[in-house]
Parts: sequence; C-alpha cells; structure tokens
Amino acid sequence: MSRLITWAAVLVAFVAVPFYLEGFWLQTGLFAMSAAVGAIGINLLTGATGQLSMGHAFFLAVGAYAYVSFSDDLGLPTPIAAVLAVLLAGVAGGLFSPIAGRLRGAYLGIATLALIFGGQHLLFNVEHVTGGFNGRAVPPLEIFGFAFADAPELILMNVPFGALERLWFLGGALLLLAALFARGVLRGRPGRAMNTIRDHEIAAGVMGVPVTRYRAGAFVLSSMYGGLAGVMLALVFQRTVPDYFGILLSLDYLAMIVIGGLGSVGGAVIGAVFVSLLPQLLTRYSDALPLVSAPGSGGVSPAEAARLLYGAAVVGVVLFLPGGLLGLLRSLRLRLPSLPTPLPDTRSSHVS
Amino acid sequence: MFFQQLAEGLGAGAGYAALALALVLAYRFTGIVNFAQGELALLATYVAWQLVDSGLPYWAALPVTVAVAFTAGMLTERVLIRRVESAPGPISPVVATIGLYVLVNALAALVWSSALRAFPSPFPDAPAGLAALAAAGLAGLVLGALALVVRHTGLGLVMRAVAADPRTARLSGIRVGQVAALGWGAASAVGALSGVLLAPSLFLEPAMMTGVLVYAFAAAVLGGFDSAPGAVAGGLIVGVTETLCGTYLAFVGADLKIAVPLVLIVAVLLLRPRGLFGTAPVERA
Repeated sequence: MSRLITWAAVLVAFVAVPFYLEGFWLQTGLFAMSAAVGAIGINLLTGATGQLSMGHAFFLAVGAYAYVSFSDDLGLPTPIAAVLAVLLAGVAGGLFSPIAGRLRGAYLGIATLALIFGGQHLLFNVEHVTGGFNGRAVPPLEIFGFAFADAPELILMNVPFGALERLWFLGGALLLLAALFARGVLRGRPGRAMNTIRDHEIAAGVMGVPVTRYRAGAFVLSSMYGGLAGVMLALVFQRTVPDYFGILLSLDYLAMIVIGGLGSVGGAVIGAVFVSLLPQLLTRYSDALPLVSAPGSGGVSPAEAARLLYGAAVVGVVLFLPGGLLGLLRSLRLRLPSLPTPLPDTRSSHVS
Repeated sequence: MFFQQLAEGLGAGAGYAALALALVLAYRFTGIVNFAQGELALLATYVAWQLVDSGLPYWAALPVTVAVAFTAGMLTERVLIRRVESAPGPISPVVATIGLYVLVNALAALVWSSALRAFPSPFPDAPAGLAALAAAGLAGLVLGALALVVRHTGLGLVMRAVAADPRTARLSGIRVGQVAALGWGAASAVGALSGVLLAPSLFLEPAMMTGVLVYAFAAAVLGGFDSAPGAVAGGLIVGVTETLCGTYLAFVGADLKIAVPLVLIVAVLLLRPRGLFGTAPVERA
C-alpha cells in the first residue's frame, strides 16, 4: 500500500514538472531520461554480465543518425523510423556479436574501441547520410498527427506546451518501458544466467548456460537500448553532431553505471541523473561557484569541471562505495520502493 | 623514400611499443588492463614540457620526468589499484582505471588548458628519418636496461616470481604488494617514455594519448597481452605497418591510418586471442 502511494506521488510530481519548471530544466531532465535508457542498456552488459564496452556511444550514434536518415532520406513516417533505428542499432550490435560473444571482460573493452574510432570516421566522412562535420537537423516525431514540436500551438492550463513539454511525457513513458523490460530480464532466468557468467564463466558453462550466446545476446540488447537512447537524444537535441559521439561519451556511460550501482536498473537511472545533471548544474550556477567560469570566458569550463568531478566520483565510488549510490541508499535504509534488487554478487563468497 | 618511411614507422613504433610494454607490465603484475596508462603518460609528458619550458635542458628534464612518472605509477597502485583488486566482480578494477582516465584527462586540461603545444625533439638537428631512428634507439636502450634488470638481478627475479604466481610468491616470503607497486612504477615510467618520444610529432594536448592508447592496445594484443617481448615486437610491427599502409595504400591515406590498429585488434582477438607470443590462459574452476 505504501508502495502504491509513493508511486502515485512520483507520478503526480512527474506530471506537474512541465507546468512549473522552465525549458532549461526540462531539457536537462530529458537528457537525463535518454541517458538513463542508455545507461540501463550498458548496465545489462557491463554491470550484469561483466562485459566491458567502450563502444556504447557508437550505438547511440547509430540510433540518432538512423532515425534522421530513415525519416528524411527515405521519407518513412517518424514513429516507424524510430522503431527501425532501434532495430538497426540491434543489427549493428549483432554484426559485432561474433566478437562480443567470444571475448571476455576487458578484452571486449579493447575490441569495442574499434567501434568508437571507426564510427567517428564514418560520421565525419559519409556525408550524404550523416551531414559530415555539421551533422543534420532532426525531424520532430509525429504520432497520429500529434507532433512533438513547437509548431501547432498547444496551451494546457495557461502553460504553452512546446516540444520540450510534449517530449517530457514521451521520454518518461519510454524510460518506464525500458526500465520495466530490463527489470524483467534481470529478475528472470536470463538475468541469473548473466550474473553467473559475470561471477564465474566456467561454472556458468558447467551449469548449462550457453555462455557465448548469452554474451552476444546481452551485447545486442544493450546496443538496442543505446539506439533508443540515441533516438531520444536526437529528438531533444534537434540536431545530430558527430563530435558528440566520441570516446568520452562512452566513458560517461560507464561512469554513470559505476556511480549509480553496477548491475541494476535503479543504479543505472540514478547514475544517469547524476552524470547528466552535474554539468548542467555547474553551467547554471557557474558565476556562484569559485574556479568555474562561464563557457568561453577562459578558466575552467563547466563541462571540464563536471568531468573532473565525476572522474573523481568514479574513483571514490569504486574505492569507498562498491554498491554505488544505490547501495548507499540501501545501506542508509532509505530504500526506494520498487527499485529492483540486483542479485547479490556471489564472487566474494565463492571458493576458487 | 621507402627507408625514410620505414625509419619513421620504427620511430612511431618505438613509442607504441613503450606504451604497450607499460600495459603489459601493469597486466602482468596485477592482472588489470589499465585503460588510464595513456593518460598517466600524458601527465608525465606535461611535466616534461613544463620542465623544459621553465629552462631545464632536455636531457636533464627526461630523467626527472621518468622519476616523477615512476612515483605516480607506484602511488596509483598503492592508493587505488591495491584497494580495488579484491573488489567484487571482475570489472570493478578496470572501471577504476577508466575513472582515473577521465580524472587525469580533465586534470591535464585544467592545469595546462587544451591548447596545442609544441614539444622539443630529443634530436633537433638530425633529419627527420634519422631522428626517428635515434628515438627508436633511445627507447631500445631503456627497454634493454629494463630487460637486464628483470633478467639478471635479484630484484628482477622477485618481480618475475610475483608476475608468474602472486600466491606462491607470497608464500615464499616476497612482499607481493610492494613488488606490484614497483611493477606499476616501472610501467608508468616506460609509458612516460612513450609520451615524450611521440609528443614532438603529435603535439602535446589533452587528447594526445587517446589515439596512441589504441595503437598500444593493438601492439599488446598482437604480441600477446602477457608477453613483454611480444609488446615490443607488436609495437614495432604496428608502427611500421601503419606508416607504410598510410603511404602506399591509396585508400588508407593519412585519414584511415587509425583503422590499421583497429583491424589488427579485432582480427587478432578473433583468430588468435593469445597473440604472437602470449600464453593461452588455462583456468581451473
């Protein structure tokens, strides 16, 4: 019952946000939602299965650019373009899966560097699809005549509902679906198999887990999550820029799941919110903070300061909070209701 | 022309080999793939730049830089790696090095800004090809000295024992933690050499080592991730292949040179995961 009440409160707060907060915060929130979807994906792979990927940014790029290209170049309806973009990211992950299935842990991390650098090269050079250095404008999503754009004006309760306000609800719905699906995967048989592979590959194989197939599957699933995050990001950004999808973005995603908590949906969401809010907060309040200065005015830019902070946060979390922020919340007994519990890591207790 | 390219390939390859060797050393002593190795080298290179910039002659700055890098590597092991080694899950220590990567990179951008900086060459008067060869020779000299220490001294014996089997080494009374710290120090020092050798041709900036790290990974994977001679051989092969492909294969050119190590990494990991000189892992449950 109390759980129900909490969820109702969360829902009301979520619905109320676009009526009260300005565009800046909505955009920040939408970035956080898209990051949360992507982070859930990489947490399925890295956190739950123990497979390191430095190539997540590549799949975000596939999703974002595929959406633009399918809807603009092929003239497909935008919802179909979005679905196809996610599927294409999955196909891209599938093409890499002979490698993703066989390599383990950090070795996969090394191999996925190829995706990042290869992907960047394609983004800059296949200009008729990607628009080269300048990127491309993103067409707004339109479902059954309802456009997620500023264009046909819409006013609800004296609040003008532009693109950001409309996308807010779409983003929330997509994040909820993505989180529920991932929760189902993690709590069910596949999740247990993935955790066993992470904790002891040979034991997993002996118990009948098809290790290679599961690794490849986790990789494909995580790349589809990346693709969805890419589509959401493109819709919010309204422009795709190749520079953005570099190795630092992949590192951002790894930082998110470490800071939030490896191997769980809740951890991915908390980490994503933390890492995407940090630079925005620093930008917003840069004049009030010592050392940090507004972008372009010399001194430390908010983005750099944020990177420094969350780099330190990653190291600090690994050192002092092995469970991440989610683990901290749990240990403070401020347990959030209905956050899925990850399987406890059995590695510390097994005898090798 | 060909020999000029070959010399330049060897010069670049020596840089890659040094960083690859750093990766292999860190891996041998603690079983951790150190994604921050390139950034530690970057930091050392900035220290060298600062020293030279403030008027110290190049050949005096170099040993100071190597000493600083050695200390930084040892500190990294003592403060960070040692405490995450036993963390649950195989991925935590690697992720810690990734956090270190982000942290060090942001720190370098913070202190030295992201401006491109010219870095002095050790042999400013020599023609380009000869300077590259001399740089390769310098790297060879240092690596040779390291090999001599590892092969022929008591300390080297202890280091080899720890790398081969930490548990047995501990049982025979070796301070495994201290030796591992020493190993990371050596790795970081060798990495610093790579940064200093490559900086004159790449220009010093915070993203300088990102590409080099990819080449070094290619070299280490090609040579076998647990083989020090393999890393050196791998580095030279990668450097020469990359330079020659960039010059003689029209479709590769200067633009696609980065694809050479990437293709190498993927191909080697798929076809021969233990590399040229590495040992196949055997695991007992």
